[in-house]
Amino acid sequence: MNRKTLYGVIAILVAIIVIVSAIAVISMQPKKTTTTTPITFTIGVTQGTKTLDPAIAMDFTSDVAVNNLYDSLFSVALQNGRTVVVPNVVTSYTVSPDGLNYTLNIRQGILFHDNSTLTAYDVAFSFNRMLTINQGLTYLWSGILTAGNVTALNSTAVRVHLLKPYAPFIATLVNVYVVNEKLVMQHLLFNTTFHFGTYGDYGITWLSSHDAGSGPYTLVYYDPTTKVVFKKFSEYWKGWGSNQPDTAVMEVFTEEASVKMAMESDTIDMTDYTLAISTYEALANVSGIIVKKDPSYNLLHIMMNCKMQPTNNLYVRQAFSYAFDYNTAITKILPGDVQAQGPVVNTMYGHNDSVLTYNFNLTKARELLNKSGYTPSQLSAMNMKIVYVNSLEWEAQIAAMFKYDLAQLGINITLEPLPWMQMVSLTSNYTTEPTFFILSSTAPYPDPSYYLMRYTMNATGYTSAFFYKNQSLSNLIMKAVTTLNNSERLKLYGIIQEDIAYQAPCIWFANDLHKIAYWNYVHGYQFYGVLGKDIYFWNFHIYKNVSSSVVPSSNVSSINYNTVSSSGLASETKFYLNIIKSFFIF
Amino acid sequence: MKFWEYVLKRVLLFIPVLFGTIILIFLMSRLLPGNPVRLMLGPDAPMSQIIQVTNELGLNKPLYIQLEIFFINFFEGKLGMSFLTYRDVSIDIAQYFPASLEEAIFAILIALLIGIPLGLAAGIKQNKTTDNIARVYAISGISFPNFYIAILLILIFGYYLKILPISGQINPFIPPPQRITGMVVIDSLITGDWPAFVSSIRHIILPAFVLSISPTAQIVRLLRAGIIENKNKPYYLTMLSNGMNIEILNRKYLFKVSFIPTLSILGLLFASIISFAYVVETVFAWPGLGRYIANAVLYTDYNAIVGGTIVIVIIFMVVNFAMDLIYKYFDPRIRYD
Repeated sequence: MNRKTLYGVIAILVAIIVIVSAIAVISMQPKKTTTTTPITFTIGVTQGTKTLDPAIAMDFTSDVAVNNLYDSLFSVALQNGRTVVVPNVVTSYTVSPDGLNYTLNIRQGILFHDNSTLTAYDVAFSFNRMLTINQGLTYLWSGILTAGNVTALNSTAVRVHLLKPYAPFIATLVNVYVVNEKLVMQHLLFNTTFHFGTYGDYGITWLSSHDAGSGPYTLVYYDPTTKVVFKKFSEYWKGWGSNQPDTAVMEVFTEEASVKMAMESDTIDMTDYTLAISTYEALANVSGIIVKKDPSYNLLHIMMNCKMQPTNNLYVRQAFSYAFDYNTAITKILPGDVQAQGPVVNTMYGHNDSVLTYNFNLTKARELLNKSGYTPSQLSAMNMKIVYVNSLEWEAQIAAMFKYDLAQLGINITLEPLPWMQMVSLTSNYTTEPTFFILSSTAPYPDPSYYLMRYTMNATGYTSAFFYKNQSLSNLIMKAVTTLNNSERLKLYGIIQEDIAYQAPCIWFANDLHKIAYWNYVHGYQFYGVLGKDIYFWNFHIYKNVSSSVVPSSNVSSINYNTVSSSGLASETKFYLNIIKSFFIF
Repeated sequence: MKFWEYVLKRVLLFIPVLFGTIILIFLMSRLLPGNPVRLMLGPDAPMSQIIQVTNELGLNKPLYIQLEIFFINFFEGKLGMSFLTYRDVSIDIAQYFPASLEEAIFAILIALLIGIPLGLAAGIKQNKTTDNIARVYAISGISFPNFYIAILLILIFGYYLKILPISGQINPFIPPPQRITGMVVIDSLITGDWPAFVSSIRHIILPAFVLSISPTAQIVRLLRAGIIENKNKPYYLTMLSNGMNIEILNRKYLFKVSFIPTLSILGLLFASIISFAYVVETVFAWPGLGRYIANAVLYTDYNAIVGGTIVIVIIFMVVNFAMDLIYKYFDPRIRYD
């Protein structure tokens, strides 16, 4: 190729790009959706999808995807404002008097996305597969259920044999999803990282990016870091109503500013729950955007290292619990949150309302410190650290406030913002554990046992109360979760909560308010408290660009804190001007 | 040394560089704080579960055994399973690399399209208004962080004017074209999928433009400096005084000579765009390799870190090699001795 030809090729390429770009920019305005076109729905999320395998999924976006592609054995619903477990694939169940054997009756007429029928054999296969792989939420049945103990009695009934009675068992089944056994068995891989004997990788590789479910939506496109596209499964057993999305998209924006702008420009219909409070406040000021707020199962707490000085001392822990300014935390830093009462979230069934609740009382804190035998100067010399996620603004504010609170007692602590990974690595050993560790945790099923099991002797996860170990308490918790009688169990839960609250292994400072923003043409959104269950596309009805006569009167079923203001755009401009100003200042 | 001997020598040099890099990155990735299995399994995972998965992933083995396993897999064309996506890293790279490549090609084309005329004009009209404008552009392009410009452009074109999309590679409601090269613009063009083509062009404009700003600035500065230097040389003044057409003189002689330094860094600019695109890819939710590697580092995804880095190293090696070969085309004085 001579030089002239080379220049010619470059010139033509450049010309093509310029012309096409100009045409595209000028001519392609966003198209408006009408009722005659397929109904689409897009949610903007701030983290990618890890996997589509229901045996492994446990993060928000993966849970949302799985919840829409698969059917779970039981589901959740709202009854009188409280989340309850309701039948789904399982229509009914019986339990043996000793609480060890459950017989689950499977709904007939459910079709997988390849139009084959879902049977009890698929249910047994799915549950055993989950237990064998032993990842994701399998820890819920640790020591209670092992692989092979789930057997199909016939095509409509499954028997589950527990190693010991476990009262919250049915509630945990909201996390068991049914995969198509035949399809999975066709895609087993051998010679991969995971080996499960004759089952090869048990379909982990294939299911991480494919769909073998019977849920309301099928998988159209999957890219873990950018988007997942779903299409309505017309044969879905629950049927279809009007204006439910034909296509749903979960689009990943890792930058919060991008999600906000996408929402304001109506590029997306809904955000997820992970945005900063200030962002939800700004979105609430945009006309037509609803910011829905619901009490969640998310418990915010500062864990204390119960095995190292000085927080291995009960009085020190109690003193620190009285030295935390709860009111400022829930009014200034986390507006809308409520103060936590003990180790179980206030909204959870079985919560003990009369549990010892600490308040901000420096006098009491000083008295307890005197009892502990430590002086403020001794405590300051111990180089106590409070670690928190460096990218979370609210955690930084909580840590700074607590440092200020303790300074009023003459105690100095060090703020240590860290990446989450590094924080987790500190928790592997109590000697490396910081004195204070800010953490939030959400129950994956509606039962108090989730919050209490971490105080048992066998608990080893990093939420396990920072090495707080108490044999009698552990025995009591184990007794509670094996007590089948509901009222007796609730009574035990109450006693346990009182005991833990008195021991103060953590400063439980807030029950988080779950926030989510969506346009007012999205109807049917329900918050259930359990991670990922609220983004269930089948529940949604989209009335975008349709005549007001066909739109139902209200789309918010519970609390709506939305305020509509015409100043939204102005405040937006101001917000970005401030960013620009700050750039020049710094 | 003959040309082919030179090529062979350079290709053979790739091998120790590549293997050295793999060993270095492999060991460095293991030094990152945190246990990836704990992160995989979540906050409540019991120790038994953590131990089981650690063993399954081979992370319980000594480092040299892990390295040996990595190399065995490497020669079988596998890079190990990503802890984040549960797929082999080679599959992930095959998915994300074309997006980065596409973005980088567009960015370098935009950089050349703007940088060459601007640099040429600035050099010829030294200290005039054109030169001042070009210098302001060049200094701003180098000084402003690209994420800042990205957010400004999103605000202007996506939020206020609403004429360009602000995230992704293609409209989520348009089916992606049949995958041939993995580059959506090219694939849609090959398959004649016009809605996908228009959508993908609209999506690539902002990220590619943002990525082109810094290279444009560097091209402008280098070209301007070259022009100023050469237009004061005797050969140029002689030809000018002999009455040669100034347009021909500038285009045919002055530009070519002045462009050689720019050409020498063009390859590096291209490789840098791919390597350092993760911020822009994050802001625009672009499904590229940079974003994949950044995520891998955040989550201590060992295999993805090593796999991603191998690709970046290969890009730098290949592009540098290619530029060395092309360099001779522009400067016949070069000898492969």
